[in-house]
Amino acid sequence: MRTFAGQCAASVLALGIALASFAGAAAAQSFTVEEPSSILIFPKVVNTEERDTVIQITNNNNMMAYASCYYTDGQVLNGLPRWDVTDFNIALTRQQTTTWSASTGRPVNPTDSQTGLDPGGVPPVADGFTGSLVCVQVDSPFEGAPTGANDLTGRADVDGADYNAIGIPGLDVDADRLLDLDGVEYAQCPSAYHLNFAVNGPSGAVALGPMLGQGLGDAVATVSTSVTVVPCDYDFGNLIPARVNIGYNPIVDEMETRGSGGTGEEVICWDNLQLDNPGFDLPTSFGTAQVNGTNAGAPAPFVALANVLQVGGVSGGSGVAITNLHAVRGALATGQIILP
Amino acid sequence: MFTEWKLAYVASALSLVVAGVTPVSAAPDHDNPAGILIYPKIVVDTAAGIDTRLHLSNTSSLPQMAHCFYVNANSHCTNTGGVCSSFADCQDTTTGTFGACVPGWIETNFDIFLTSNQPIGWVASEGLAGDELPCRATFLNPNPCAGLGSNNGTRIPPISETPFIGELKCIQADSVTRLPLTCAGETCRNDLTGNAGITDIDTTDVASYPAAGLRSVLNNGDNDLIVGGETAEYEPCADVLVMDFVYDGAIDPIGSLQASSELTLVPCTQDFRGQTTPPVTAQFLVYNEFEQRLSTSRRVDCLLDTPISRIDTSQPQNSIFSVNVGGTIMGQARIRGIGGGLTGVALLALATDYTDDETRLGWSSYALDTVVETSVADTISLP
Repeated sequence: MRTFAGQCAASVLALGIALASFAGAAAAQSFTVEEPSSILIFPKVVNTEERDTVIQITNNNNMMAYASCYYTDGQVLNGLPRWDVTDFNIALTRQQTTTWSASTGRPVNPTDSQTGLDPGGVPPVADGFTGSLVCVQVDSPFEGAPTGANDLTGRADVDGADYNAIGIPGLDVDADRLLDLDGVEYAQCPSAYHLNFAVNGPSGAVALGPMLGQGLGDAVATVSTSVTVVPCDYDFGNLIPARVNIGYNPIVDEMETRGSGGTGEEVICWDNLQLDNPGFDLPTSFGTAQVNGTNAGAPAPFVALANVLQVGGVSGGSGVAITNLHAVRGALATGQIILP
Repeated sequence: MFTEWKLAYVASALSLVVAGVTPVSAAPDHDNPAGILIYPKIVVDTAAGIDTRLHLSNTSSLPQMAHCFYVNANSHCTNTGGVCSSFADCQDTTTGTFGACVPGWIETNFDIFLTSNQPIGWVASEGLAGDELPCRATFLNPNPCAGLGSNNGTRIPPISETPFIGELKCIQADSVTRLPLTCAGETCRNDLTGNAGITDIDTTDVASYPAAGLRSVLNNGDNDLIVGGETAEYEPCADVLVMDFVYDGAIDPIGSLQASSELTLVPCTQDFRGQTTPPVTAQFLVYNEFEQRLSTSRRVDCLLDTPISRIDTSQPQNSIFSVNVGGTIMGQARIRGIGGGLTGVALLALATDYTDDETRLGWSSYALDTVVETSVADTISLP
């Protein structure tokens, strides 16, 4: 004869199995550039004489959202990475979007010209800063624990070129300061990407005049592409910069001729890699390459953006576009973010 | 008294409800190769010096074919047949009368045959065919490229008229039937990636965005592609698109230029066989930085391409997307499609006068964020 306790336990077990099944199905997420997440990575933040960066972060929930953010300066001085880390906290009300520029930050000052609710004391970055910004969603405004609420989206504008922040969804997040990007606690980062590009330089120059077919003459613009790379490991606790070796294999032109891009360039903390390897000197106008990250011979996680610079044309001016890259399906690697 | 059997019944029923909830699946994917690519914004305007460069890549080591559809969303005058944006463009110069400016939806479909791992690029105003094809096989040169396949059979037409506003959809398909192959799960092919660059010839500026991808999870090989829903063949379009934007007329935080944004939305349901696209109503919830909320809605017939401050009014300074009304620099718009899913792209321009395109000094485009809640069901019907 079944007892009440036995029936209750059986019902609870059935409910638990159903909930676990639902959670298991929802856990099959990977990094994203369009869905709300618990970690945002802005791979390219610049504050130089010519360029500045506007950061926009949005809370997609109807509840308060908090984040601990970390600027990482990726400049290399005398061959050594600076890896200066500046951290701050922000608080967003329901559905709030907030913005600041990297050069000025955003102080808490209701009387200043920046309208809107100030999210917290956002410091400016140093002159000459070239690096990244990481924001981790936490459960309270001060020394909060990481949470997998997945409420944050972000966008950055680098001197008129926009890109979406890379989101790492939280899956089964615990309260410790070790954020495992392992597909269990948080989604993993890719270890390889597809890069579609217009071939650099005059051999593959985009001819803007004939583009219109209206006799604008030989208004040829040169196109150059670079890739901004940030390893998907951050040790903010011990201040140890992460490394990843970037290689390009294969590189394929429109004639399906395959090549490769050398043995790899080491990226420490942050770098902007020009596609000036001889493997990219293709005879066609367009190409595609697989960008691979390794460390000690094993796949290594990283995030990347493509920067396309067009110079010349009718006006002799220039334009820059930044695009997020497509990840190679299944090419994932485990990383870790250590919070202080 | 709540008896034991009632407790068991309720708990079991609750577990069934929870288990029956469709797990959240991915919305249009800009992160991975896919079986359907959507380029929501193709712009060509000879007079204004604007054209669009398109990229399509096969990430597979096997040759693949993409069955593509240009959708011409231009409006045309009923009297002159010319391209128009309003009735004011439809004046008959001989009689002085005005015709009506009627929205249009004209599709042109073509095939692209890609060799293994091949990228291919073309300019919308020119197309790509004949000797321009990189891997064109001939009798004397049957294997023009290093690996498998050739581009024979590819003929990308130039867009049909200028000015042109429209979209491009490419569907990975079988080279004979021109329909996706029957498959299930991991056997479904998802090999296409792409991006587009809208170039302003005068400023040499380029606004680049990645094509939105819909991944195939199942296919019965028929003409109707089910996107999302309970019998999904492709992952769903988003229930909600999220656009983080700068209010029109707001001063850019970095410089002293005024911002103006354009939003392009296309419905996910399209009937290329019956030549119809059911309209979708886009509901906008707009939050400023004070968390204050305003809302509006707008019908999307085939394609909606508009400055954001003209979504809800013909007077931009009074729009809920204008800095005069929003009151802050940045805002968030949550766009929900009623009657179907939507996908789209936003374009941010900076100018000395945001109401005058001639003063634009730069632009950039970005994909919209997505939220999937209930897996909206759409259908793409192929001819």
